[in-house]
Amino acid sequence: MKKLRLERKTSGSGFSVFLNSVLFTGVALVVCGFIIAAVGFNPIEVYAKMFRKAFLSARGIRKAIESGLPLMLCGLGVSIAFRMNLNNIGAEGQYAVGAIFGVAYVLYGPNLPGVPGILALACCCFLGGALWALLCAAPRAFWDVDESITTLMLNYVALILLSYLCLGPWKAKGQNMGQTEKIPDAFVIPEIPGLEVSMAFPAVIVIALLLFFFYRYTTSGFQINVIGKSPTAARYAGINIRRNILLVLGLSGGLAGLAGFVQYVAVTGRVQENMPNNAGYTGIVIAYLSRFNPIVVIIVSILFAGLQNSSATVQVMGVPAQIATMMQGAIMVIVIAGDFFQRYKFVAAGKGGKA
Amino acid sequence: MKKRTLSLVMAASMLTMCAVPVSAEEAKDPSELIVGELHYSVAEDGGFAQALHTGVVQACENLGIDTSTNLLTMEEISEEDPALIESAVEELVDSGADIIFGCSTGYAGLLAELQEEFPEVVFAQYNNDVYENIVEFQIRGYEGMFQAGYLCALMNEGSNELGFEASMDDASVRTAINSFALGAKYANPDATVQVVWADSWYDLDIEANNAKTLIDSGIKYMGMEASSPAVPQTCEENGAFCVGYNVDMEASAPGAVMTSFVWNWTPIFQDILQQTADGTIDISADYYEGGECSSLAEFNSELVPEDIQEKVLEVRDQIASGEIVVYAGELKDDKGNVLVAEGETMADEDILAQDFFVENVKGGK
Repeated sequence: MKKLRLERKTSGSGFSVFLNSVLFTGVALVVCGFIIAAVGFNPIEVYAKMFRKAFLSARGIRKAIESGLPLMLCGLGVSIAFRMNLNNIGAEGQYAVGAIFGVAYVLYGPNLPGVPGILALACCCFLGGALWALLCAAPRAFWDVDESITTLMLNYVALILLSYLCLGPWKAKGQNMGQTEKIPDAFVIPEIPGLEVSMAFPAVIVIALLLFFFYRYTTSGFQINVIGKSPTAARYAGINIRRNILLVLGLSGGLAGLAGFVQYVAVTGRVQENMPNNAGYTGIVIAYLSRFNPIVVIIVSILFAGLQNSSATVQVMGVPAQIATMMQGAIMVIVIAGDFFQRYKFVAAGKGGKA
Repeated sequence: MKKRTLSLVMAASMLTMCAVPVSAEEAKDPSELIVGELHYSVAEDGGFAQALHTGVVQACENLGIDTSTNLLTMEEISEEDPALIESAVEELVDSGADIIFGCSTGYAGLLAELQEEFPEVVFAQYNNDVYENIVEFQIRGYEGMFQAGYLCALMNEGSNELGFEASMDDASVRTAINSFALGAKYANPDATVQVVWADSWYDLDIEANNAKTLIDSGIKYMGMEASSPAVPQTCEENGAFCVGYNVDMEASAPGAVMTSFVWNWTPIFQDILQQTADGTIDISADYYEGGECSSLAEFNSELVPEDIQEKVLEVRDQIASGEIVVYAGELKDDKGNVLVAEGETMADEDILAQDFFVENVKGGK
């Protein structure tokens, strides 16, 4: 028998990446299909209904976009850090601090009318997320402290802070749950007339496009890619790594902070005790699945949000909620595992170059 | 409770007679109702959600509603995800739901908005009386917790110190602590309640550690406002005793659980369902019930002597008859300020929004 060995693929076209993801999503659906059949339902019927409700109805798409907004921003934020090989696991906490800064602005900030007010609020949320990330970026840049640990740990600090504020000083009056008062109407982002989709969505698309051009056509964007691929080469080329760590983590955290902004002004209208609700972690998965490409992040976020919302559709058919959650997990794991075949190929030993 | 419900029913029906009928739908047999419920966790969580779910199921069964076909349970509907909540409500409405129970506080605002979109559906929500267009329900949990504190103090012969494991600092949790402490004081004027906080709604390790801390400091009897069986099990391992919470916890630690405080939602839900079927429901109604809704589960006779059981039942009846008023003056907080003057009683709004600890609570926040 011939021996096989793994070989790294040199490059894959965008199209083959796409095909690979679609193929492995298919594999995931087949695997889940067996489980759905095992609990006594017809998988084709379940999938058809899910798909129809979540992605083929105007309502479904609108909701997927709405739920997807914070995921998009977390995904974009995480991507930029990962491009430079910085493991920002802290989008969850940066999101929370962004929301905290947002409420602080609404409660104590100057009263600017209309668009300037909304922009100032957005800047505050961005700043909140960015500062929270810089708390980890500075130790990393100056003392080489591992940012995956510090960003992760600060998530808990941020969530407890958020929970304290929502249950304590900022709690809405007359309510018995941890949430702030409704945001004043002046700050609410209007919907696109006729589409019932918040203006925040095109704004996020603009951010994604800006990032796309930033990576592709600017020196800073190029430097980030070089540092990510080879820090040594970057150092030899005279790239200021310290400065880039601060810049990239700050930007990454700021984008996650904006997730707090959109959720606050475009979705819930309040900040809640447990608002990030794992969006920061889901953002990591989305960033991976999208290969850190900002445009793809938008699409994958919408698909993910649709999948999450379809759990209601599945349950009403009698399928347990756990199956819906499990499907989300299975798709994530299998598609990421499938990525392996995108990066490596099997070749017969002895062939294809010297070992 | 019966009397109160009856007066509520009468008040509600009078309201509907005076006002424009809320629902133009014709009355139908309760057994034809399609009932939806929204839960933030799984319904059988062994705690708060399960108590609500059991209430819905029993109310359905009592009215002949087939729970396998006509009860639609939505689980793991996160309170922080409005799109998911909306999807869940729309799915339920599409499936013909006549009434939807929101089983966690966080749904209230959104359900009040959705009611305008689906006026033919009755929304019933676990909440204090906040919204005008949804039915809200809440239990006077302090009545049962008072009995729990009373029981612990009676059992705790030769010592004045009781323990209490609390979750997060929140009005509902303070209510549980305070009423437990007041019950203990009713049995023994010198009784004090030492509180330890988990600062989490659900954490097995912290709850177990906290119970151990109480036991190590010499406390033998404790109450709890926590959702896991960690406290009962820790008590059992260390020869201490407790009153379970949310659901009957005796099975998880038969050697330690004397009884449990249980939320009995069945009478409230049955009334809501019946009125929904009759078309007489007043959607601005607010249920705030005590009595059999807020009581202790059956005593563990291995642990609680007959005479003490009788004394606790007597207190239960005295609360029901109004002979004992839990939040009556003179009531002082833990800093010595007078909360309720002699001869007065506390208003419901203040009971629901407790931001104080009563005099004999130690370790409040």
